[in-house]
Amino acid sequence: MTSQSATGLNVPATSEELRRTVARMFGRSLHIRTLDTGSCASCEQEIRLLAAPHYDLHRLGFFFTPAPRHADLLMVTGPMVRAFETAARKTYDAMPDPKVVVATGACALGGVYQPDPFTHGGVGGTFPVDVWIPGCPPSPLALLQGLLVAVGRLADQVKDLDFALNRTPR
Amino acid sequence: MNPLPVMAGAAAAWGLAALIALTCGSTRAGIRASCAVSGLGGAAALAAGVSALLSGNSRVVTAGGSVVVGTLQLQATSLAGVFVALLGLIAVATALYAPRYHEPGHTTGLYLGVFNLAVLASLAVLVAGNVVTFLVAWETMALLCYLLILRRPRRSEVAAGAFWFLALSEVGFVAIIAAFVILAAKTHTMQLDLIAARAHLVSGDWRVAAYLLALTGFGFKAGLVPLHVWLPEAHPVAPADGSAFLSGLITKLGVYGIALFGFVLLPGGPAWRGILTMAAGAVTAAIGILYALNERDIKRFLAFSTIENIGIIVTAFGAAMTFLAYGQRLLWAFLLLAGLYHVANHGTYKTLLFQEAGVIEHVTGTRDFDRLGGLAHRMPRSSVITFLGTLGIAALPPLNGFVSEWLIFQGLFQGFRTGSHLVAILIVLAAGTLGLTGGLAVYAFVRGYGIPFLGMPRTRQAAAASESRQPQAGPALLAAACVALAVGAPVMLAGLARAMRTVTGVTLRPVLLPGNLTVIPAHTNFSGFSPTWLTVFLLAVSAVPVLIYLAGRPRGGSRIEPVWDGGIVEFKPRMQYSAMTFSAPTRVMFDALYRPSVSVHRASDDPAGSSGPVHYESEATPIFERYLYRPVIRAFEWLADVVRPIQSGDVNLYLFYVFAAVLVAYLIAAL
Repeated sequence: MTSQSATGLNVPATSEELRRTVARMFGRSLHIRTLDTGSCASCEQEIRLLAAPHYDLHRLGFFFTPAPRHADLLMVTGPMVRAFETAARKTYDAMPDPKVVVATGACALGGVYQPDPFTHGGVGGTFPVDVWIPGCPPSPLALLQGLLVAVGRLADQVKDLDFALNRTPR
Repeated sequence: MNPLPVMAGAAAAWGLAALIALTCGSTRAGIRASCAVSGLGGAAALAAGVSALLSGNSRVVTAGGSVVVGTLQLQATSLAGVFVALLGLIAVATALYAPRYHEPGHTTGLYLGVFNLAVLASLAVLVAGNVVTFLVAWETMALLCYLLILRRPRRSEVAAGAFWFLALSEVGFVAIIAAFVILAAKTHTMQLDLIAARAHLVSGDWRVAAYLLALTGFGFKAGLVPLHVWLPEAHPVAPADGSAFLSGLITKLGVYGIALFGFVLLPGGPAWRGILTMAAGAVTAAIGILYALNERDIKRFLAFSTIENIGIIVTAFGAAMTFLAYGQRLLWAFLLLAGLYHVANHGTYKTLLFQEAGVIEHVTGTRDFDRLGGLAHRMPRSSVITFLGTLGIAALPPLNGFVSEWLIFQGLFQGFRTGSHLVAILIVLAAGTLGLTGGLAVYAFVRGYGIPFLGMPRTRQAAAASESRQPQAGPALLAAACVALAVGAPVMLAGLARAMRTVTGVTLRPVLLPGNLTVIPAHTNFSGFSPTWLTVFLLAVSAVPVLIYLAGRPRGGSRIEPVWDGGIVEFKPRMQYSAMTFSAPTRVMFDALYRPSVSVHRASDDPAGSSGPVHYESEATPIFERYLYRPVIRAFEWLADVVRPIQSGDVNLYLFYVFAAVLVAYLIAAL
């Protein structure tokens, strides 16, 4: 794995940093809930490949979960079709704090569809997005990089928590 | 204390209550007065039943005398004491229930009058001391119950349901008369206590014949499969307190008859007699609950559940007789006791459930499970009361149904004590069948409580349900009785064991109850448990999660979100389980029994177009009605057609018939 990007990042280095952060902050267990709000499934294919042996996201301490109650990170793809908005909002509300939202792919960022009677044209209006990952579909390295940023945001929130005193985030 | 004068007081109270209801039942005050007097009678009967149990020996009183019909003889025995006490409890509960359930009116007065007379006749059956008294009381009771079912004769299916009851009751009555005639002829007496004393005079074959006739005759009333078909037809058409009385007590009178013949009049006998009874009971239990599981009508569902419980009781009685044939007197007495305790328990919670079914019907206008739902939020008190009754009938600890079923199981598990491998296997097989029945009963009552009370209302009527001005006190009293029969089981069983000594001659008490509120099934080296401490333990255990929740509760800053539902936009009542889908697995598993016929009708058969509304109907084949009763009915109709030509209506011809009959009689006598 020696793919080198223009910014000097590469997969092994990003992976290693991710692994250390997740291990330190989340006890090697960070759960992702993916949400397809009308994507063409290319983004899903890339996300699924992250879990394949080539990148092996599980090794870094990431897991996919279908239950929003267990999820720390919401990974949204697609332009947010209006019919799905209630379900998307319910999913976000059902996730416990702290949580981050990662908008994944050009559709989710609002670059493909104009708002029309059927879609919002992006996920930004539905919930507060912490990390935007561009690309159609985003490359695995972009996804890893995005996750790293998201974990950083999440870690900031976690640091604010004092679990011993059982306080909520400030 | 002599219970007979108290019973006479109860009878007088019921007679007076009937009189009040018949004369001024069209006013609310009249109904209240009648029910108050009837309730007093019930309390007296309850006291008399308990004192008959406590006094331990039977009292006899004789009145009148005639060569033709014999004397009127009454006796208070401990066996009947259980049933009399149950009758009293049901009468009190009904007296509390009826004033709010019935609207004042002429027919209501008639109905309550008939009801009180039926209660009186049932008491007469239980205290009858000789054959003639018993038979007259029995037939009176049956005819009055027929009138009870005919409360609203113009509604569809009422006449048919009542006729099923009457027809099967009369067929059973013939068998009962035959059984009593055999005993009376062989022992040269009409008195039940003398028949019991001279039972050895009845030779083996006559003994078996009399018992089988009694089992059949009383089986019609008790609801043994395949003699049960009147229950699901008559119960739904009777008013709720009438159904409660039919299920809670009248079926128990059939059980009383079986116990009277099997344990008092003709104890002992070949082992196959007991095994046959046990098998009949086990089959009844399993088939009853299987049919209950696929019933959409609450009252038909409860009627089938009654059949199941009768099956459990009769299984216990049959196993008891089998044990006696192998000389196990201790287990014989123990299983009789367990069966009688189940009689008391089932009478209590089934009456409760039928009364609550009546409340549901009044509030929502339907008895269809699939038109109810969400009643727990709208009728909180009724739902708690029904929940207690449901726990009882599903035989879940710590309620009373669990105690008696546990006792019956413990008796059956000791089948090995017969010493015969085959019989031991048969008895354990019966226990296995009851195990299947118990599991299915839990399933059936999760459905029976969950579909109407939990979830969302399926219709507007169910959504608008309100329990204000609905009867609460009667079912609440029965719920309290259920709890008392569960928590106080060791005390009650001790009393019952002492009372049954007069019937069985076996002293069960030190073995059954060694102290510490523990019950031990007949033999000390088998098993034991304490219903009282079990209740305490279960309450303590269920407090643990509450304590953990209270201790670990976040102190503020928490966010409450609805339960995760998979992102569904809106829940609709139709998305819930319906009663029939909930029990669909059993229809697949047991399709050999149900033989479901499915019909689908589409508004349009155009393959290209939309189908329009689709009408789907699935029905279980009524096996017993179709393959057993219909051929019999056809045969009678054919016979009636054959006989009809001689009925011309011509008076001269009828005079000729009389003449010919006399002539033939003389000729036969001359030969």
